[in-house]
Amino acid sequence: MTRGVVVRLARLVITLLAVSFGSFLLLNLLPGDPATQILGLVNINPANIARVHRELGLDKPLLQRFVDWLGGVLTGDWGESYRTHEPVLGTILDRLPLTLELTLLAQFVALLTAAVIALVSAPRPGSVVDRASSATSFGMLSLPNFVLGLGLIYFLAVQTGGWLPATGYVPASESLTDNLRSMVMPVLTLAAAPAAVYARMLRSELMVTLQEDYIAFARAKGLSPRYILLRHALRPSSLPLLTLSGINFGALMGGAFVIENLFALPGVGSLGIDAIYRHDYLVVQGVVLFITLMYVLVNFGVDLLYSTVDPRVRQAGA
Amino acid sequence: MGRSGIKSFALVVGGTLVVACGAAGCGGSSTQNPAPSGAASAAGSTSGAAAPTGKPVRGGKLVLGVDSEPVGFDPATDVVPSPGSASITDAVFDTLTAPTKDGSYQPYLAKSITPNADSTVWTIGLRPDLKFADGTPIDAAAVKANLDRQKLHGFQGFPDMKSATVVDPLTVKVTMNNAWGSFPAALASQRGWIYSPTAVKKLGKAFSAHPVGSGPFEVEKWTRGSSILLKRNPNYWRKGLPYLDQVEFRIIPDDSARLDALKSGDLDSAQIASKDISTLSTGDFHVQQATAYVDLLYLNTTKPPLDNVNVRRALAYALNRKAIINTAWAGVGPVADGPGAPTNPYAAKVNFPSDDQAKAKQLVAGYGKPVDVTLSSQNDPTSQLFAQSVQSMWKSAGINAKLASPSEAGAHADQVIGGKYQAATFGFPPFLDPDSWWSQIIASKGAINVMHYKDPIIDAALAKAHSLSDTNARKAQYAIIERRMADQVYAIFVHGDVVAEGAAADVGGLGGMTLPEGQPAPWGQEYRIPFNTDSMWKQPAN
Repeated sequence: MTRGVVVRLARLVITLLAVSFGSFLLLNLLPGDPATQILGLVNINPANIARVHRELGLDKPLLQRFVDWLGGVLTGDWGESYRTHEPVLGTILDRLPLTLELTLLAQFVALLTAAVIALVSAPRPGSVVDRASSATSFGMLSLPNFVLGLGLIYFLAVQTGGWLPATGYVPASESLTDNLRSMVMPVLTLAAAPAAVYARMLRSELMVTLQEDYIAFARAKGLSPRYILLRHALRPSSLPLLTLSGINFGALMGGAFVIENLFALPGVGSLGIDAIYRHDYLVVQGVVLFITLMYVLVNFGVDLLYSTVDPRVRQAGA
Repeated sequence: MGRSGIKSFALVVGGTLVVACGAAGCGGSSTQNPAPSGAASAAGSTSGAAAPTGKPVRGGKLVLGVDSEPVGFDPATDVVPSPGSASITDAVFDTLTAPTKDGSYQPYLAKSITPNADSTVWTIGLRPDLKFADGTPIDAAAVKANLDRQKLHGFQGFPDMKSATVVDPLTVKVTMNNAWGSFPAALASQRGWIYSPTAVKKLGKAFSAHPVGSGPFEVEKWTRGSSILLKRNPNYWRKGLPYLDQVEFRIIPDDSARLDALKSGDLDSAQIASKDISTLSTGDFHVQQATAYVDLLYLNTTKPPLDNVNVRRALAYALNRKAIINTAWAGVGPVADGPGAPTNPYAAKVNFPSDDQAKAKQLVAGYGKPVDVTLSSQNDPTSQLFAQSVQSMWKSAGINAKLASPSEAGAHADQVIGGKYQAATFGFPPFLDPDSWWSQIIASKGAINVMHYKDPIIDAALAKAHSLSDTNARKAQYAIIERRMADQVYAIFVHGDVVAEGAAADVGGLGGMTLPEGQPAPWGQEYRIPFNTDSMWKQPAN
C-alpha cells in the first residue's frame, strides 16, 4: 500500500516536470515576441525592446530560463507577470476561488443530472422515457459549450431583460445570492456535456448491474423496484463514474477557459487565455503548472479513494 | 443560433485580439460583419432615438463596459493596451494640454503653454491652487518631477527635452535640445498625464495599482480582470465636474458578451463593435461613433517586384476600396487616403491612386515580368475578408496574388515588424497628432518603418513639422508627406474604421469633452475614447 503510494507520487512529479518543460518549449516556439506586446506599436524601438528583454530575463538562454523558473517554483516563487508585474502564484490563487466554484458546481450539477437521467432510463431500456433521455444526452453532448452559453445568455439575460446577469461575477463574500445568480448560466453551460457523458455511462452500468443475480434475488424478496435501484444497484454502478468524474475534472478546467471568457468571469481560465494572447509566458507557465497539479492531485486522490470504496482494487493494487 | 455561436466564438478570440490590437494596431478586428450605416463617416455622430435631453444632473453611478483594463496606472512605465483601457486611465489623470477640432493643442490642466521664437524653450504656466487627489499641490515642482520621470523612465520619454526647471511655483521652463514645435501635442497624450510625485515616492511600485492623479476620478477598488470602480476626485480642478459620483468599468473582452450585457441592463453604456451599431440604433439605446482607425496594406519595398514604384501603383489602382469596405466592413466607415484617419484634422485631401483596373493592367504589362505578390494577413474574419477581396481585385488586374496562411494578431504584427512579409494587412491605432507616431512609422529611419524605404522628401517634411509650433504650418508639411505617400505608394490606405459606444436612454454626455474655455475636443482620436467620463451623467428615474 505505502509502496504503491510512493510510486504514484513519483509518477506525479515526473508528469509535472514533463508538462512544465513541454509547455515551456511550446511557448517559446510561439511566433511573436513578448516585447512587442508589452510595448505596443508606439513604443517599439530597438532600445526599448532590449530594455524589456533585459528586464524580463529574456536575453538569457532558453534552458537557463527554465532552470531559473523551476528553481523559483520549488522555493514558492512562481515569478511575476511580464505585463502587470504581479506575482504569478498570487494572481492564480486570487482567481482560483471562482474557477473552483465553477468547476465544482458544474461537477455537482453534472453528476446530479446524470443520476436523474440514468435512474429514470436504465430500468426501462427502449422505453419512451429512455429514448427521450438518450436524445437529450446526445443533444447536450454535441452542442458546443460556447453555443449553449450564448443561447443561455440570449434567452435568460437578453430576452428577459436581465433576469440573470449576462456577464460578470460577484464574490460570495459580497453577496451569496448575487454570486449564485452570476454562476447559474456558466455552471449550466459547463455541466451540460459531462452530464451527458456521465448519464450514458451510469445508465449502461446500471443496466448491467440490474442483470446481476443479487438484484434478481432482491426482486424475489419482494423489495420495491425503487428501493432496489437506489439501495442495491446505484452504488456498485457508480464506481466507474468516480474515475470518470476525476479524469473529467481536467476537462472541466479546460472548459472553464472558454466559459470564463464568454461570461467575462475573472478566473484562472480567463487569466490563462489572456496571458497566451499577451505572450505573458510566466503566467501561462504558472497556469499550466497549476492546472496540471490540480489534475494529477485529483486523479491521485481518486485512485486512493477508489481503493477504499472498492476492496478489489486495494488487493490488486498493492 | 449555431451560426451566431460560431461567429461569437471567433469573437471570444477576436475580442481578446482587439486588446492586442490597440498595441498592434489592427483596428479592423473589432468590426466583423458590420451593418450598413450611412452616418459612420461623420466624426462623432450620434444615432438612435433615445438620448436624454436637458441639463446634466449631478450624482449617481454609471457602469461602463470596455474591452480591456490597464496594465497599471503609472503613466511612465505602464503601456496602455487599447482605447478601452485608456478611457479608464484617462479618468484618473488629466493632461497638461488637450486637442481641439482644428488640430491645435490648447492648455488644459496647464493655464498656458508658450514657446520662444524657435520653439527651443517652452514655458508652462499652471493654474493656481490646484490639488491632486491626495491633496498635494499641482505646482511647478510636481510638473517638473513628472517630466523628469517620463524622460528618465518612460518608454517614449522626451528625447528632445534637455531639462525642466522651476521658475516659480506656477511656472516651469522646459529647455529642448533642438526646436520642438509640437511639444504641446506630446503633452496631450500619455506622456502628459500628470500624477502626484509625492504618491510615487511614497508608494514606489505600488503606485501602478494605487494611482494618485489629477483627473476627475480616483481608483476606489480594482478587481483585476473583472472591474475597476472609480469615485469622484474631491479635489478635481474643473468646477462642477465630474457629474457622476462613481463610475464602474467592467472588463469584458468579448464584443458580443459586452453587447449582451448592455442590452440586458448590466451595463449603462459599452464600447461596441461597428457591426453592432445598427442593432442599437433602434429602441432604447443611442450610439456615438467616430472614425478613428486606419486599415491599410503595407508594402515591403525591399522585396521585388514591390521595389518598383509602378508595380506598387498598379497594386493601388487595381483596388476598388469602396467595394472592399462593403465586403469586409459592410459599408461602415469612409475610404482612407493617408496615415491619418479621414476625420483627423491633419489628414490632407490627396488623390490616392485607386479604382482604375485598366491603368493597373497597363502598369503590370509595362513591368515586363510576371508580378507575384504574397499578401499576409491576420486570422480574424474581417482581416480575412479584407485580404480575400484585395486578392481577387489584384488577380483580375493580372497580378499573381497569393494569400499567406493567416496568423494570430501578435504573430502577424511581429512578422510585419520583422520584415518577413511582402504585402500585409494592417491597422493603425487612433492617434491624432502625427509627430510622434509618424516619425515612428514613416520616417526612413523610423523604428517601425516596415516599408523600408528611404525617402528624403518625407524625412525633411517630418523634421520640419517637428520643429514648427504653428498648426497650419505643420499641416502644410504633413500634406507634403501625404502627397508623397500617394505618389510613391509605400502603403495602400484603404479604410477609416469606426469606434463606437452604445448607451441606455438615461445616459447623457457621450462623446468628446469640452475644454474649459469652451472649445470642443475631437472625439474618436487619441485618448478619451470610447468614454470621456468627466462629461457623462445619468438621468435620474422619475
